[in-house]
Amino acid sequence: MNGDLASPLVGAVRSRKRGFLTVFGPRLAALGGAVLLWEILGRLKISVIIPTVSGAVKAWFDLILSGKLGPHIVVSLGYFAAGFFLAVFVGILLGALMARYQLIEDALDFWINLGMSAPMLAFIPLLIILFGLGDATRVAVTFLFAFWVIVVNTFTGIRYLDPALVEMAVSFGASEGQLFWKIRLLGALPLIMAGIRMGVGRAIKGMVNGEMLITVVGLGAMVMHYGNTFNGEYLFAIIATITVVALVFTSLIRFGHRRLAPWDK
Amino acid sequence: MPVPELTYPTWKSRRSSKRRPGLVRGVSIAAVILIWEMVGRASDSLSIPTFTRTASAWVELMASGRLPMALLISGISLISGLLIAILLGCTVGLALGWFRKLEQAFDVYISILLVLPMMAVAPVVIAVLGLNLASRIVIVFLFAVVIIMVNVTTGVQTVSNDLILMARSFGASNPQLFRKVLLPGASPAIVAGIRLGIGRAFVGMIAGEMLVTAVGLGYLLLEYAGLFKPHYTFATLITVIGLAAVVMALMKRVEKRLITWTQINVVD
Repeated sequence: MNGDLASPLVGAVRSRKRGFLTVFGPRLAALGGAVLLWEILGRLKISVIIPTVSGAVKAWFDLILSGKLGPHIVVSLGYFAAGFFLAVFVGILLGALMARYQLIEDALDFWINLGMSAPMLAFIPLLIILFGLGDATRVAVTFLFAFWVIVVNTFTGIRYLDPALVEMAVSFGASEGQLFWKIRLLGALPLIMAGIRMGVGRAIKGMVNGEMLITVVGLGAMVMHYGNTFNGEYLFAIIATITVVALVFTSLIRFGHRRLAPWDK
Repeated sequence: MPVPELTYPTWKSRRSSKRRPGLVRGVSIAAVILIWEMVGRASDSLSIPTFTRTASAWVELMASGRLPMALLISGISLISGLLIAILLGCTVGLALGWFRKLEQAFDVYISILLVLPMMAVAPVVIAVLGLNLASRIVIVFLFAVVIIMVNVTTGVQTVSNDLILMARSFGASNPQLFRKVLLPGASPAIVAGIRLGIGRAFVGMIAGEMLVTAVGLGYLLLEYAGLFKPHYTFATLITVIGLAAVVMALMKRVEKRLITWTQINVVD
């Protein structure tokens, strides 16, 4: 029994090993090359703002160990979560309503198109006027960055669903409610998840942009602080942290996408 | 025996032939303006100007030449940065699409660049180049280039293999394959990428002006917000939104005109 179980596993491991160089070879080469290039650039001392890799890594550990980075990340993620989940909830609801009711689509499509093409960054001064420099503005910025793409994807996914699926469900006697929950919403799930994934990226950008212009707390505020004081090592450490946070969240959504909609690709 | 037509409740069939989207749209726009005016009047606060006050502020800004001047200054950095981004984005995108190995090597960086908030990189640009036009152009470029590059790469990669095989079996050389098959095949994605790039370039333009120098539309937005003259901020904001929306709508029209044969998946 043990042997039965082991053999496919061993095979899998071996095949992965064989493919390792072909899969990761170019990536590792590119990664090593970039790190080397960066270190050389840093050592050339072109500008105080371009640090060496080793300097940036040291700065990052310093930030972590001194406990400066942790609280800022927590603060940033709090605003991020509030704005993002609000955008997901309202976005899916509105997208579904627009797909369901023609009147709502006609009434809102102009505004949604406007929101999709307008640079949301320009709204930050307005939000500061409306809500002050407080929490509401931060949450609103994150929301505004993420919201539009989620609405549009939900709408498109539901409205332009393969009619064959609907036809099949109806011929098997699906009720209107079943049609919505089991066919339309589920069929649109891949596009909805794609919208949420894009929304996560945008929400992170919104969070950082908002904090950079409000400059009191959070990762964005740290970017501004270290940028203004020409502290390249710490600035790059913060930028790297933001990137890692963004990558982690988009990967989580990708993982969720695969789990929720395994039939998609 | 004729097959009876299957009837089922599609939402499409419910859309009656006499629907007038234009009317509903107009009513919705009018309603928003009306509500805005009423909220502005009712709140009686400094923070929400009425629609009429905003409109008169806009006329004032246009007449005094502040807004046209800002548009010109912003336009210079927007267009220069965008052109460089299109040029470089398309070149690198085509190269990455053509050489698989190259794309594999760099896909880590591409995923990083896609999620990296360029706004956070702006202080680096400013520190290296200084508080000037060059900084603003580079910031516009950085905001726009990634999305163009990624879409061009995917465009080349998703050209149907059958087409490539067919071209090869008819003896197409590499340059021919590139010019006659890959480039036309990727053109929908290229145009879509440029459209998205324009949207990002607008954000970059505002970002540069807010962070770098006291010029252009971004500065007007911040200055009037700081001076607590919200009607001017609103007027500037509406100009920015209007401009971006018009340009994006035009691009979308160009896209539809140029590309009639296929549906594409845009990378965003």
